[in-house]
Amino acid sequence: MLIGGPRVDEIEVSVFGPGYGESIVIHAGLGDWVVVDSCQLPRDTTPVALQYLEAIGVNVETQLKLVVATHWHDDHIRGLAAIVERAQQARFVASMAMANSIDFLTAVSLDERRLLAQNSGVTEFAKIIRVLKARRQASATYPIEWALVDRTIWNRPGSINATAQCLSPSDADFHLLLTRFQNLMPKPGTDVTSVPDESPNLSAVVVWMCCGQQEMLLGSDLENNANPHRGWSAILANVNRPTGRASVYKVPHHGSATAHEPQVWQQLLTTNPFAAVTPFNHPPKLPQPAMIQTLRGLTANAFLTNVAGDEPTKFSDRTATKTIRDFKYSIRQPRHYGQVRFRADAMRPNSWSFELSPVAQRL
Amino acid sequence: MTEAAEKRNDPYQVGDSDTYRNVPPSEPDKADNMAADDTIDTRPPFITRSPSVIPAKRLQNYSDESATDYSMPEEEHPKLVIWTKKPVFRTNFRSLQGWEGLVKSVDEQRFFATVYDLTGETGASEAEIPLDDVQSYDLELVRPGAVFYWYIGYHEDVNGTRRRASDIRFRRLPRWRARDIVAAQDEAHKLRALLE
Repeated sequence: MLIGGPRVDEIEVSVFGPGYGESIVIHAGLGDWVVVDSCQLPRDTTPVALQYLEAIGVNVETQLKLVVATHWHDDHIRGLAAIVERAQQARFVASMAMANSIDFLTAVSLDERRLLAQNSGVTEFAKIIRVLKARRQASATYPIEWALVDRTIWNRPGSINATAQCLSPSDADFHLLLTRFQNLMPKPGTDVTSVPDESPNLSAVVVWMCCGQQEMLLGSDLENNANPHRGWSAILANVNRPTGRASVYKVPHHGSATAHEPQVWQQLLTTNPFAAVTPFNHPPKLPQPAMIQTLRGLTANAFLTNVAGDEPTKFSDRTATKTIRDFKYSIRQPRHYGQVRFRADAMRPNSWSFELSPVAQRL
Repeated sequence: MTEAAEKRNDPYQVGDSDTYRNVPPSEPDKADNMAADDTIDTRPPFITRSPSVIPAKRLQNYSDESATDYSMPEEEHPKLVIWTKKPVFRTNFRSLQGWEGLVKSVDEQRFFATVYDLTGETGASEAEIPLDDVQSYDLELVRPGAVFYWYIGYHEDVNGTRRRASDIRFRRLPRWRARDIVAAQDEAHKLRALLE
């Protein structure tokens, strides 16, 4: 993990990606911080965003202003309840479809009833709701900001103006997600397995941030779709989207081909933008070699947060370790968060620089 | 680990009986949650797999009571055990490591799963497990979302021979009942009410 906090007039985007999960920590200037998604190493008890903010001396209770859950996939939401609980003054943003769907919330409840040692992302969401309930009792403020296309979810006037605007989910994706939630419902008589993984990627929340003179596009896991009303196509077709161009890009969906839309690079990004890719080390591994080549062709400043990959899990019992090895089982877990950190003067265009943790690398 | 804790983590410490429940005793709350129709499982306790002995798949075939042809290649005879009557399993399995697993994907030869260390020592890991190591009667359960329990340890047979072993059990759970879903919907309305 990189050390040292930014100056008050410095914008920072730190992208963490251990190989399963991602979390983005942003300094919006003037000491205010934003967290988008959360991840946590298996052996850790604290999500990386909190570890990092504490390590650089940020007061999470007062300086963290915005927490965004782009969707409920395990790899984007693990540890988010702990962040929301600590960030007493932060707004929490989640996809509008999640709270409007009794089907989704029923799936949340069913997931908790499975009584498994490992819970899924929807259970993390239930924890967040309960944390927010407790907060609501102590404050008159409505605790959640619902994300939908064109919504401004944060606006901070001042010497360094900062805004966060949702570019997705589109109206069409919002509607389709409500329908898809019905598929989360098991039928009576079916086996109690985990909640089906109906892909929420097409309803993931893409955030456009503008801080001073700097603009950033955080692509979450949004994928593309031939339907012009859905995914990245809908963002490109939206006449209300911000007119600027982003210099920093969190590449969507771990650099998958299904999330790649060439027109995003043409229309929404500056030339040679700073791009961060978080790998996905589970099958199918992402990014694939062909996409790495594609990204290299689009910018000279593309970085992967973790090239080390997962490592064999270490057990204290030597015989267990030997048995796993002799039986040729593969049991692995990520050991490093991997961090790519971009910083720039808030008011000076083209001033971005980058720093890499030991396992991060230029693509 | 204390002796008591060790026993809790070892689903086979309950004795020599070849009948047991398919939920490890270390999770009493889960066992309690099982439906009344989740009957006692009377299958043989487990198969062992050792890199130097008989491959699990073959051992499994030999132990199949319905199999009538026990012939095998000459060179394998020294390792062959033929039961002339129904075998009585008197096993002693000492688990060294246990996981709860959740199947993510399956291909022709193996499945991929997130496995959660039941000792809490290492948290979640990603595992690739050969389908050959799954009991034949569990194979139909191997699909995304399925839950299983996996133990690695020692198996000691009646002759005192000890060898390392691996045991994978897929969880046969009660099925969702209509009242479970109604209860979850009630809970959903309560969750939403928190936000109103």
